[in-house]
Formats: sequence, C-alpha cells, structure tokens
Amino acid sequence: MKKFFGNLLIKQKLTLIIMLTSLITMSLALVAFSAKNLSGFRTLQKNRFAILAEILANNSQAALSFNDQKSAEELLNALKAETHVQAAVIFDAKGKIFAQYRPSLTALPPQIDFKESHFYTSEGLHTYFPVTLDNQIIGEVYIQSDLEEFRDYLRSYALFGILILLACLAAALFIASRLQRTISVPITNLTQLAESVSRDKDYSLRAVKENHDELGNLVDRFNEMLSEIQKRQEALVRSNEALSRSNRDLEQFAYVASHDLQEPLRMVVNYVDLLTLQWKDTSEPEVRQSIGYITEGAKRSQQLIKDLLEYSKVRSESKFETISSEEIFKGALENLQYTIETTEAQISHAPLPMIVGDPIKIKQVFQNLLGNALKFRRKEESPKIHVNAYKKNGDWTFSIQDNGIGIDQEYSERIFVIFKRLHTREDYPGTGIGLAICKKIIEQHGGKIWVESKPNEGSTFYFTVPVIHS
Amino acid sequence: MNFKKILSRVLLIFCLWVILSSTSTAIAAPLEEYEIKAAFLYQFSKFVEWPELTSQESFTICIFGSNPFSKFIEDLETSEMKSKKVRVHLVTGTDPMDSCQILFIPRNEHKAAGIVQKIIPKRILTVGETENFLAAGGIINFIKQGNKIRFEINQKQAEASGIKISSKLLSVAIKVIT
Repeated sequence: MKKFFGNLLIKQKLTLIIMLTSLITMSLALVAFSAKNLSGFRTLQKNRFAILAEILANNSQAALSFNDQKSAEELLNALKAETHVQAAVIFDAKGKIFAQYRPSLTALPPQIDFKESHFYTSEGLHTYFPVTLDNQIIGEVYIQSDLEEFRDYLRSYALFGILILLACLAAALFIASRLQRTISVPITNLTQLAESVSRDKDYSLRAVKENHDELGNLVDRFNEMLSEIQKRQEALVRSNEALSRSNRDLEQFAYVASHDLQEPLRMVVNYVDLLTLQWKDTSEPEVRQSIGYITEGAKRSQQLIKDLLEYSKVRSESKFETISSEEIFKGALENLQYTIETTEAQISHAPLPMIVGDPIKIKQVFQNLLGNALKFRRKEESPKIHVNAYKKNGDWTFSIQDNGIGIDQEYSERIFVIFKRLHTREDYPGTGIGLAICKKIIEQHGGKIWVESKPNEGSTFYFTVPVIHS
Repeated sequence: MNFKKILSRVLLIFCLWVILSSTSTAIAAPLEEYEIKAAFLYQFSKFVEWPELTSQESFTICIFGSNPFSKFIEDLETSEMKSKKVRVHLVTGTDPMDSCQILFIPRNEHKAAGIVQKIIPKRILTVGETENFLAAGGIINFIKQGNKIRFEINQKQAEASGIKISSKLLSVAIKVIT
C-alpha cells in the first residue's frame, strides 16, 4: 500500500489525498446525518402510532362501555388506510380480545398491562394505549406496525446518501483535478526541465516561475544553480581548451625536439663507433674508458629520445576496434619471449575477454606491465605472473600479478609519472617512461591504472577498459 | 361386532359433546337482561352531560312504576355517577320528577308516552324499552337484537331537553334520530 502510494505521481497523490479526505469526511457527515434523521424518523413514527392508538382508545370508550364489538371492529377497520398496520386489537378490561383487525397473521402479545408504552422488536413497532373512562381503565388498544416504512425510508435515504456521495465525489474529483495543478504543474515542469538538463547537458535552460510560494522559491534557487553550473561549465570548457592546447604544444615540442635530437645524436654515435674502431688497439686505458662512457651515454640518450618519441606519439589518433585481449596478450608474450626464457618465468592467465581498443596500444600496455614484472623480479626466485580479467561496474578490470620485489605503497602514484624512477640504473635499467606510457594509453581508452603492492611480496597492476566504449 | 363397537363409541362421543356443550352454554350464559340494562344506565351517565348537575347533592335515577331490575337495582344504588352518590327512586305519575337525571320507563307502563310528554322541557334523560318510545318523545330506547341489548337515540329530543349526548354514545347506537 505504502509502496503503491509512493510510486504514484505527485498529481495522482494530490488527487488521491483530496478524494480520500472528501470521501471520509463526507461519509462521516452522511452517517451522522443519517443517524440523526433515522432516529428522528423513529420518534415521529412512535408519536404517530401513539396518537393513532390514543384516538382509537378514545373512540372505543363507548363501544367498550356498551359491549358493542361491531362498532369497535368498524373502528379498527378504518385502519385499512394504514397499510403498515399488521395488527390492531382492542382488549377489554379483563385483558380479553374485544375486537381485532389483523390483515396478516401476526402474533399477538401474550398479556397486556394497561399502560401506555411502545417498543421496537424485529417484527415491528408495538404501541399500547389504555382506554380510560372517568379515570377507570376499561380496556387497552394495541397496534403493531411493520418496519417496512422504516426500511423504505432507510432504503431511500441510503440511495439518496450514495447519490449525494457520488455527486460530491465527482465534484471533488473535478475540483481536485483543477486545484492539484497549482502544485503538480510547477513540480512536473521542474522535473522535466531537470531531466532535459541532465540528458542534454544544456545548462542554459531556465525554469519558469509561476507562483510566489515555496515552489516559486524552488524554481528561483534551481535557476540560480543552473546559471552557476553554466558559468563553471563555460570556465571549465575554456580552461580545458587552454590546457589541451598547451598540452598539444608541449607534445608537439617533445616530438619535434626528440625527433630533431635523433639526427645529431646518431652522428655522435656513428663517430664514437668510428673512434672505438680506431682506438681499439690503444694501450692507454683512460682513452678506452672515456670512449666507453661516451658510447654508453650516447646510447642511453638515444634510448631516452626513442622512448620520449614513443610517449609523445601515444597522443596521436587511435584506431578503436573490437579485439581479443587474449590474442593481444599472447602477442606481447611473444615479444618478451627472450626475457621469459632467460628468467625461467612462469606466466599463467585466465580467459581474457573481447574488448574495444587500439590493438597496438593495448599490446604496448601488456608488454610494458609484463616487462616490468619480469624486470623487477627477486634475485633468488624465478618470476611467477598471473593475468586475470573480470567485469565490474561496467568496466573490464585486468590484473597482472607478480611475485617480484614490490613497491612501497607511498610510491604507488609516483611510478606512473614520466622519468620517475625508484631504483638506480645499475640495479634495474630503464628510462622511467614505460608506466607513464601505460597510464596515457589507458586514460585515452577511458580507463584507470593503479597498483597494489607490498615490498618483497610482489605487485598487482590493475587497469580498466570500459565494456562499452564511448 | 366391530360395527357395534364403533357405533357405541360414536354415541358416547356424541353424548359427551352434548353434555359439554350444554354445560359450556350454561357457564357462558348471557347476563340477565336487566342486569345489562342496569349497567347500561350506569354507562349512559358517562356519555351524557346534564346542565346544572353540579349544584345537586346526588345523582337520581327514577324508575317509573314497578321495578323490573329486581335485585340488580342494588348495583346502581351502590355506584357513583358523575362523582355523586346514586339514589334510585320509584316514582308514579303524580310524583314530582324535577330531581331525576334519568327516568326509566319499563315496558309494562302503557302510559309511557303520556309521561314523556309531561316531562319534555325538564332536563331528564328518558330511557324506555318500548317500540315507539322515541316517536313519543323519549331519548334513549333499548332494543333487543337476538340475545344482545342495543339502543337507539333521539338526539333531536335530547337537544330539545337541554341534554348533551356525547358523539361516542351516538356512534354505538343502532339508530340516531336527528
């Protein structure tokens, strides 16, 4: 019941409340009026028959006095006009039936007490009136009338009451359906406006104020909030545009810089190679050492620039298509085949789903994360890696779990920032770009990437991809 | 044998019925004529108004000539009418009748008509029991119908005599002359 009421629209609720209130108050009033009227009717009926009995008693004085049953019967026969009289009897002073009029076979009272009285039974109204003459009781009149009259009255009253009730309810429905609009229409309008704002993200819409009550106030506040949101939305769009513009500039710069840096660096590497060849037989160790340092530095610079180029290229357009993440994963494994074999790594995986994404970029994510898992292994143990995927909140969540060295939780954010490294190059080689690339790719796909880890117990990298790509 | 038995039974039942019915008739035997008439005289007083009665000490019923009520006259003498003690007088044609409220003239009084004529202006309710009593100027006349005593009223005469008869009494009379 409560749930049913709760699911109704405001206008239905208002109408229902008004209708229920009218119905209950009307019914109560009708019942009260009926009770009053019916008891009034009974009093009238009692009085009427008391008067009738008194008249009969008065007129039967002579008949009783002179033992004239015939005229007494004539007197009673006049009651034919009263169709509700079931029995009328004149008793003599001894309580014996003197004269009677019984249109139907009605039971007569067993004894009489020569007093004026009246009472109702299921058969009808019983009225007694004594016949007195010169202060002497010489007989008694008894009238029994049926309840048909009362029932007729009750029926017509009930019918009338129901008609009145229906008419009033119809009127209430008419009035309620009009009046409820003053409340429900502004609410409905506001609701529809809120729906279209939420659907179309159009914050320039405004609600129309119709009344100067709480609802009007609500409309004003709602409009204020809308204009506030609109202002912030516009500011956000502007700053987003500015941000992406500067981001684009920055990436352009990074791309151009790294691309242009490659050329001179290649020249440096070529000439250093030449120098290495010329000086390979030298007996001066300092020269060889210096050439070695130069070679190493140049190659690292080359790697850095290569990775930087890679990073800035992530931004470039992606081709989203439905792909089997399992095949992508296996492709990444092939690329890492050499490392897997040398580290004797054990890699297992659960069935991986079909997803929407750029196959090359997703492969890179797998490759970087698996590569890290292999790279940051514990010295005394061969790596064990498990890859899993499950659906949660409209996303596919992938997890890559390893048994490596782990990361302190306080660094779990920092590792995704470009060029951030937690270890020395001597311990773990790398440029510190891999996870930054992963983060960029996943965010491009509309997902998230994070890590859960404990030092020396291994790490689990998670990333999500929306099931339905927007 | 069987037939005889049935016949004897039927006879027995018949005899019993005869005895029972005769005894029951005896028990429910109607009151004697003058017992009823005495009672009626008493009842008449309740439905009739005599002017100037209040000034009188007692209510007087006069019976003309001989007393046909025999012992039932006592019923009247011991009763009260109009809240007054009842006195019963036997009167003759020579007696003054001014104090009488009711004058009963029995059937065997052949001079009834003459008596009635004589007391017409005096406010006396004359009650008779002869066929042409009303025609002669009487006010109420007893009539026997089967075994019932009924009466007829000469309302015209009552009015002329200054006696008021209640319409209730008129309503039970078998005939009313107006």
